[in-house]
Amino acid sequence: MSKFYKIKVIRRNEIKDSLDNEDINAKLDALHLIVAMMSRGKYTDDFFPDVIKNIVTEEMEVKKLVYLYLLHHAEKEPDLALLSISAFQKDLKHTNQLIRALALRVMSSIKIPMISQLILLAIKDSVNDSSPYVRRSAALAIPKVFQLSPDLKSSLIELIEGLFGDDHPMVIGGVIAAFNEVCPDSYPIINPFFRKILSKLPDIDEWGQVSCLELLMRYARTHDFWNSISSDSENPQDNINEKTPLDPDLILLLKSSSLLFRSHNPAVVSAVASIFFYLAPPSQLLLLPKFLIKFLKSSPQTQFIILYNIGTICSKYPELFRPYYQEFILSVTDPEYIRKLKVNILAEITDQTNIYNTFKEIRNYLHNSSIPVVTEAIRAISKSTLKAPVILDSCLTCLMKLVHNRPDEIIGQSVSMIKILLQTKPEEHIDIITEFTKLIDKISQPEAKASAIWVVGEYSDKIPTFAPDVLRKCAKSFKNEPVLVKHQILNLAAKLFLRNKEQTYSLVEFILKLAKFDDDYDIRDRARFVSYLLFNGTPISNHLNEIFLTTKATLVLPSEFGKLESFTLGTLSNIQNQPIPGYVPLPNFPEIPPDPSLRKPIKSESKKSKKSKKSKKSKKSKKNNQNEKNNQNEQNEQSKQSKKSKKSKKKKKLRLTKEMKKQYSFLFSEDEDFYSSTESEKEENLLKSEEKEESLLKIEEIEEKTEKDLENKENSNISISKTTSSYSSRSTSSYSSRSYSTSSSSYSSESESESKSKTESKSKTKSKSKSKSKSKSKSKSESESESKSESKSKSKSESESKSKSKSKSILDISNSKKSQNNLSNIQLDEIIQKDNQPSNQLISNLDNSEVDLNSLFFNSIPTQSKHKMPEKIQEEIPNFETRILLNRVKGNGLEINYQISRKSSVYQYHTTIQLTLTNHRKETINNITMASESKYIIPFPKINILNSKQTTDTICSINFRVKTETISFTIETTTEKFPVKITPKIGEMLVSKEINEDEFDKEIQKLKGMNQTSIKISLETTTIEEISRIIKQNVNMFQLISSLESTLKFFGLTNESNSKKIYIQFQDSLLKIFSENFFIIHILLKDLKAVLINK
Amino acid sequence: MIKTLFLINNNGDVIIEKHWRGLTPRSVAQYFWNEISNYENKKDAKPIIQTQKETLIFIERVDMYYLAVIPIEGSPLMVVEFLDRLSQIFAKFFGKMPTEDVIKENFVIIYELLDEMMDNGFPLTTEPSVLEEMINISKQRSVKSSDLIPTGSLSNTPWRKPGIKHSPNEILIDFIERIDTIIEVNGTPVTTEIDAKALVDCRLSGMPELTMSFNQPRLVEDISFHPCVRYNHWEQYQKVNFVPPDGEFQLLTYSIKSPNIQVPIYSDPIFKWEKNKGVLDLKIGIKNNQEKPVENVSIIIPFPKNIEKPKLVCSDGSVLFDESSKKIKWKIGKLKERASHLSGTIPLTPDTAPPEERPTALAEFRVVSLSASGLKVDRIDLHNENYKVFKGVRFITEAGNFQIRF
Repeated sequence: MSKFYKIKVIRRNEIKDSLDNEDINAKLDALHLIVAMMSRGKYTDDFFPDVIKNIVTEEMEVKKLVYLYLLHHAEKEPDLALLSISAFQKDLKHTNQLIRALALRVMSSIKIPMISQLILLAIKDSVNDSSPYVRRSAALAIPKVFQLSPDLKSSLIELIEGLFGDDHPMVIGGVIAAFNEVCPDSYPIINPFFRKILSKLPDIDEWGQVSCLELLMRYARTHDFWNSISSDSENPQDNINEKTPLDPDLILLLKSSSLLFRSHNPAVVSAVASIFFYLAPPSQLLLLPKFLIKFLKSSPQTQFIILYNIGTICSKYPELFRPYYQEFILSVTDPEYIRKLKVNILAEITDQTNIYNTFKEIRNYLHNSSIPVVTEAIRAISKSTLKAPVILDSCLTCLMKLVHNRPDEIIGQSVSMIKILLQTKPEEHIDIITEFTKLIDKISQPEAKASAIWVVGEYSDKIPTFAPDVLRKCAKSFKNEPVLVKHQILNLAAKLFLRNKEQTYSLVEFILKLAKFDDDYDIRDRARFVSYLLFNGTPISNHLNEIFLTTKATLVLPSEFGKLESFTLGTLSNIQNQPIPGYVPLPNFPEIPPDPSLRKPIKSESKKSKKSKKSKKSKKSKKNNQNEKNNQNEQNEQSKQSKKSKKSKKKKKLRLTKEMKKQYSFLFSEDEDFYSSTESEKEENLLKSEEKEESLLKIEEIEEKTEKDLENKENSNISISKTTSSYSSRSTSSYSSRSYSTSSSSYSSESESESKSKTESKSKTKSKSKSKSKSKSKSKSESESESKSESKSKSKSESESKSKSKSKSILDISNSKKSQNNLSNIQLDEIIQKDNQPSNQLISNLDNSEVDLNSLFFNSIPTQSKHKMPEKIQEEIPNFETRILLNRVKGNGLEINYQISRKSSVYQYHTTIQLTLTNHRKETINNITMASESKYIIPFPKINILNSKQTTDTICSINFRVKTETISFTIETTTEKFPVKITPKIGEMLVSKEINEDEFDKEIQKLKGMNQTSIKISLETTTIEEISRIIKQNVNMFQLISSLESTLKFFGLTNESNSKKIYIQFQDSLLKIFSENFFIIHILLKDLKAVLINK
Repeated sequence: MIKTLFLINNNGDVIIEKHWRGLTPRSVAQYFWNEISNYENKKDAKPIIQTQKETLIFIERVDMYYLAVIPIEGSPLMVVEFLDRLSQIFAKFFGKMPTEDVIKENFVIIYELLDEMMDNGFPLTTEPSVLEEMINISKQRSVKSSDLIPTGSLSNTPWRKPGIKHSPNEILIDFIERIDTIIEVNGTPVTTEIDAKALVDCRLSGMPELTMSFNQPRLVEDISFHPCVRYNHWEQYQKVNFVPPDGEFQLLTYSIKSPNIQVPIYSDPIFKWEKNKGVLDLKIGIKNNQEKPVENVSIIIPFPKNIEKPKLVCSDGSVLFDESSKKIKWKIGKLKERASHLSGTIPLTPDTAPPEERPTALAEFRVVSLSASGLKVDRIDLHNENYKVFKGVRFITEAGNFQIRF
């Protein structure tokens, strides 16, 4: 095709002939030639009639080229362009959706105001098209009509409002773009769709996401979500702390948008960053840096804008990017503008904590080859020094090196910065001030010279011998100095006059005389002012020292990005630091927030009924919607592969009843005023019943799934996730608010974890004092014979528990204090600790302690006594699953089973694993050991002899580090090695801990929203006791006695150094898990979900 | 929102112009060209230029300038990203970097692409697989219009059309980990970071759904994905769940910053500016614990303007000196067991002072089947489809911005 581009001699008549030709190839050649001429900026207007004739073609290629030509020329030839309209109108009814969409797109792009009404009609038809592709084109055509004839705004807004009801994400993206352009502040339209937009957000195309996020941010700003807690309405965001309850809609907004941080499109990520910057509580901004910084690897143009984003954020929250300072180190490949920005950001995020690192880096840049970068570096290094004065001396030394033999800009910047730095500690740097007196002759740059003279004047008392000489030199050159310098010379004169009248009197007089006849009126004014003050003893003259010689406050260098903050983050205006046409400042939070109930979604049924009154169109649209729904369902089914027919039948039944209900409501609302409150109530009820059905449906699905699971365990995770996803997609179609609670993502907040660790350390110190008294009882039990100790220590523990009211987590400390030589001691300690629980739990725990004691025995003597344990106990306490570590066949007769024990381990943060070894061989097994290189595994003591058919119990400890990674190690005997592995469950990596209910409720209030996840469990198929049992069995947590009936509450800590608190609450058939660590709660939820549904 | 797009060649001539919101005179392109010509090095020109009426945003790719004229406020990143995608899609469509010649050769297709990719200044479709369906690149003119329905774009997975068939079914994933580092003279890194991407070549039939899990998902905290990946799934299970587009695409990117990054080479640089010359001595070798061969090794050392042709000797490979850009390029190839050595002097132009700035060397290399980060793919599972699939995963470590300070 390049031949067309390169043809120089064009025979216009030949082209025209070819356009009339029937042969498609000739036509295409001609059109290609014309387009090539257009590209090269050649005159092609004269082909207009010949080209337009071909618009009726059925040939797609020809059509596209004709359209291309038409759009390029329509403005110049409006009359001729009108001829094409009938062709478009024909195409709008074409059977091919692509052609319909193309026709609408091109027709609406013709910039002739005359046809705007026609386009409007075409759009009105197309918004009800069956193809979402066409509907999107219709949405995007709306702003074009608005550009042509703004007077059609009201009917356009109506169209937009209608399109918001569309469920296809492709259309939503388009309609939001239209909304932003046509009626960006008609927020009432958004109200009912707010939650729907959020639920669709991940499915919208990436460009639509950008418009969407931008709209959501403005919407959220105008609909204050903070229940106006703040006293000053200027910026409530700053006043929020962790305790402030956030509006659920805001949480939803943040949650939904935070998912898009994972987008590979920087525009999307930057838009999410803006939402967080302007709306999220400061503690939740911690997520922000890493996702922005990632794009510092992309093209310099993207980096440029991202760096501006970062800079703007830094000017408000410099601490956010502090840990990432290395990302801003200059690279030799960076263009100059990137280098400048990076240096500025480095200065912005420098403080005492990282000054040595950043200083070392910025110091390197003082020798950069680019002068603008060096001046920025000088400024940056000075700014850092002001923030962290520890490096003042080294910084001044660096800068002083730059005032010789350098380009003017560098000398100027250095001198100006030295001047500012000197103000912090002038008395320590007299040598530099002296150096300055020598410099003044050499400096040519006005600002630098002015600064130098100012320094001499300001600190003239510290260099009494040099200062008058400087004034003498200045007097000599006064005539030829720039205005800026003259001002400072006058200042210097006045200051010296006050400090050293004898030596300088005549000099000052001379300079003032010169100045009075200066060309510049400012200088003349200033001279008169000074001489009046100095020589004519007015009353003010007594205060001369206060006027000229006051100590100046240290300057703070303003942030380079500070001024940008006045423009919204991520906008063009923000980067250009000037308002670009069309810039609308970020709306302020309103003083009285609008009623959140406005956001209650309008139900789809009612919408339809509204429409049906208007015209028959609605029927069509309803059909479309239904079709779409069916389509979706079909797709769902497809994706689920071949399902059992039984299931699909059930589903269909349910769907049918649902449809019927809808029709019912539809009839109902036609008779009565739909807006009345009673009606809406009814609708709500209806919605609820629908929800119930859905939950039923869900449970059925899950049941199906479990069946499947049994068949195919490998795929279980995925299939479960599918059920939930299909469920949520269905529930969103009815916009139930409940479905949102299932979506989840959460963040840990630093400040909270800090406060927590404090309280922890407190409790530790408390327990220390108590542990002393306990050690006595232990020594007693030690002396007693082993057979006795069982009963004795039991009674002891009882009495202990009575006498000692509350002791907390003594174990860790006592462990670290004592050597580990006596295992049984410490286990006793545990028992005591466990018994310190409220009375009604005592019994079960006592039983528990018996078991512990039993196992305590087993450690030393291999016995079969385990079987003697009363069976009752096994029912009472959660029966831990015994799992196989090494099966009999693989172990060649050696069988090892294990249980993960709930007892706290001897070793800090370790979990105790109880192992039962059985020898099924005929011969004895010698020297059984456990080998592992991992420092997180403490093996069991070597078992020297295990006789044939004998069983022995022992324990080992593993620090799982709260990770669900599989732990591998080997079991070795004298002759063999067996590799084995343990896959831990997160529920076993927790430590149960006591907590009172008030505190529990308070804590979960704090964590609500961002740090919670939940699952719905219907009580119809299970009982609350059953749930309680299952949770206890699977998760090592403390169960609170809840004051509310049918509510379960559990509390525990993760077993690691910076342990996280975990709360589980079951209420109203909703199981909620709260924690700062989202990783844990998700895994926990997953585990619990599996067992609760599997049981 | 883009009013007009100009594609401009390296001489400032407009090759393609496309107007979405009214005509923009070519004089704007001329103004732009004058602005960036003020810079000694055009790469130093800021990508955003303000004129009285409009804002100009441009990117430069293979000596072509993509200039967008922006009439009103909007997200500048969106514009930059769109222009960037444009150049990528050109490269994909034409199978080579979109140079001036390539663009001229395919100008009609470019116009068609632009029509599909943008409407009224808003990006419309930028998914390559969808565009490939809509635009007939094969120059066969007998294609009937009805064949051109973008079937895939209407489904829930707009990036994949139904009914794709392949035999054999295979999916190949290349994890390319690029090491970005700055190494101080004493050998300690100032910063080390991996910037990685996973490129997928997918030839699977039907509507496959894949789940990929990593050995250490915590390593890749800042991972971001192609739109086909379910973000929610990652947040919940730390697994990558996706329905892949057909053919080649970039599945995900991540960056890792950790002290455990395996840098496969070491360096021993010595440099000194003397009165009228610089003395250079550089050793590059394979680190002890590194077993995989380090290939395609080359070192580039840019110097300031005032140096003459250097006298250099190297133990392996060849040394070249580029007079115009003042760069030394040392091509080593595959590293041998003993260190490779480059030494010599760089004379200064007479009567010029030695520069302040010390040189920095840029290294390039490639190590196949080394995962510098330690990340591994545990498994890839196929759902929804019942055929056997060949799954190939390969890690490649490359030098990204690998700087060695002298």
